[in-house]
Amino acid sequence: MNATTTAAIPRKRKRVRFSLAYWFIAPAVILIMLLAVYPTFRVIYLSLMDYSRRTQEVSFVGLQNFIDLLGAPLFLRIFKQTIMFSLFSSLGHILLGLLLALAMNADLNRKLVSACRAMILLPWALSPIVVAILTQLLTYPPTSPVTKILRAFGSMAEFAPLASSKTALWTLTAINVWQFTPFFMLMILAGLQTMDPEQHEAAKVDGASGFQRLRFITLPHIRSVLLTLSLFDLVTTTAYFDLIWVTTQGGPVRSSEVLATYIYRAGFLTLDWNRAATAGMILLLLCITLAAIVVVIMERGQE
Amino acid sequence: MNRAKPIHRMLDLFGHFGLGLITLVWLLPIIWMLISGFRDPSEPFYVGIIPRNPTLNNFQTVLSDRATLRSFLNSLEVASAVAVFDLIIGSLAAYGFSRFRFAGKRSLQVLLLVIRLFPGVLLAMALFRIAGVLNVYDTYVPLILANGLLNLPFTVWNLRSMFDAIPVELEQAAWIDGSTRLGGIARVVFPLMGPGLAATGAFAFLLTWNEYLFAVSFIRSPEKQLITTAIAANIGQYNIDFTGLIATGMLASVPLLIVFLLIQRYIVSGLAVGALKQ
Repeated sequence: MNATTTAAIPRKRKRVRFSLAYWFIAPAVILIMLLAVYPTFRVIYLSLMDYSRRTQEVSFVGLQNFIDLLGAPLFLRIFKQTIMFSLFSSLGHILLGLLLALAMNADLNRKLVSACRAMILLPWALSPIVVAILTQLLTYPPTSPVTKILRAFGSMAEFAPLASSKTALWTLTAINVWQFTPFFMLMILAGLQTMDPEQHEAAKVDGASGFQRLRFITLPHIRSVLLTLSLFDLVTTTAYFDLIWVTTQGGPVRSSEVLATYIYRAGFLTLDWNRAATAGMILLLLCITLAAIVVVIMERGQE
Repeated sequence: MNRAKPIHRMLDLFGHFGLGLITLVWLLPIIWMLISGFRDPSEPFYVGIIPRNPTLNNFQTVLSDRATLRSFLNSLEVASAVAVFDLIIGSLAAYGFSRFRFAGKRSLQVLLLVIRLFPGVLLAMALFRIAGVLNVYDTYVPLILANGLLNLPFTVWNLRSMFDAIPVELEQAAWIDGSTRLGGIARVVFPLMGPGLAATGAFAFLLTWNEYLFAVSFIRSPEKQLITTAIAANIGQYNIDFTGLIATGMLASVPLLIVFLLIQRYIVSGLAVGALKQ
């Protein structure tokens, strides 16, 4: 059999079986349409309507809900807190993830490296609920080892970072960084491993220092990986909910409230679904903008 | 690699030690939890790092509590259902993506990425209202569908990379022997995927077992609570039985962490697709 015929057979078969693919994809597409596309339109609809408790009527109010929400100082503060949480979580994930990945990529004993890599991923596989227990254990004065350490140094200072409105959001950011950085380490490591080791060898021969090789060979190589991961991460952390809700419920005095917990509270607790949908649309627009940038970058990477 | 110079050996040792230390420090919070699970409830936490009288009582208490046990079984039921659901729908879609070229393929792949990035709280909100209208609120139906949807992109990507690795010629041989498409997948392709297929399902299981937002949004009845909502109900109250909470958390997480260590290498390709390439 020569090369031209073997190449021709699968291509021809693919053309013949053209429509069969849709049968395989159909269940997934139907699921997505029912559970994601329809709800999105539902949320858009809700955000444009308002329910009057007085007349018990639902009426179309256009963008009034958005104007109300964006004019409320509390909402703006929560918006800012969301951005801060997302920005610093992502920054932490990428920077620490890069450092860990570089450490894991070093020329060390293979078995040790793969054992460390597997173990360090464990926090990422934990349920946010179990992480909430850990958070409680580490930050509640009677159980925190930090209290123990403070007492050992003779300090009577109180360590309760989740109870203060100044530190609650930062504490949650730190815990988020702790839990999810290993995932980013894994992804960056995958990027590092596509690098050609000969490039480094050649640079070494030419007398480039370790830092120069990092700066001029490694970083440019994984630049697009880091960029995609950052944007991807910004979307995810902007919509982050679980740990914040379980540990502080956005408190104290809503200092750790973010968009996701605000929406949840407005909807499920206050039953003000129109306000929840309006805030939801703002969250969605924020995510779509970031996600669109991800898609464009990925498409460009394909070419 | 043979490094004779002592200075290099020193550096090497230092590197290995450093890597081990980083890993250990990173895992300290988990280690602290594992130690604390064996602490006697009457012993204050600040007395010592290591419990003075290690005990298994905490686990015994948890396992003899009927409500907690039921929440474990409920989680098992929901997570298994999601894993099976995702494996069926996901493997069909992954097969389609792997073996065919068709109009709209590119946009469907982008759609999967969008689903992966869709805010869970919006999905919960919209589905909560639909579930009310369809009279399935407080059942596992919306829970299984929502988790199934959010885990679908990973399932598809991971299975697709496995299908891609299996030559189509093997299937063609089965077709010649009279096998149908689906028959060929079941008899020829799935057996070759082996542990990878199981690992993909296990990961969907793990994500669902860990999931909290949908569980708290769609379930109200006390007897239908999942393990995550059962634990969450006890967190944040300061006068609670801490050692019991830790023991429950350990029982809910340690078995899955072991499974996770076993399946890790089979799920990396699916994760990388979601984050890095399409």
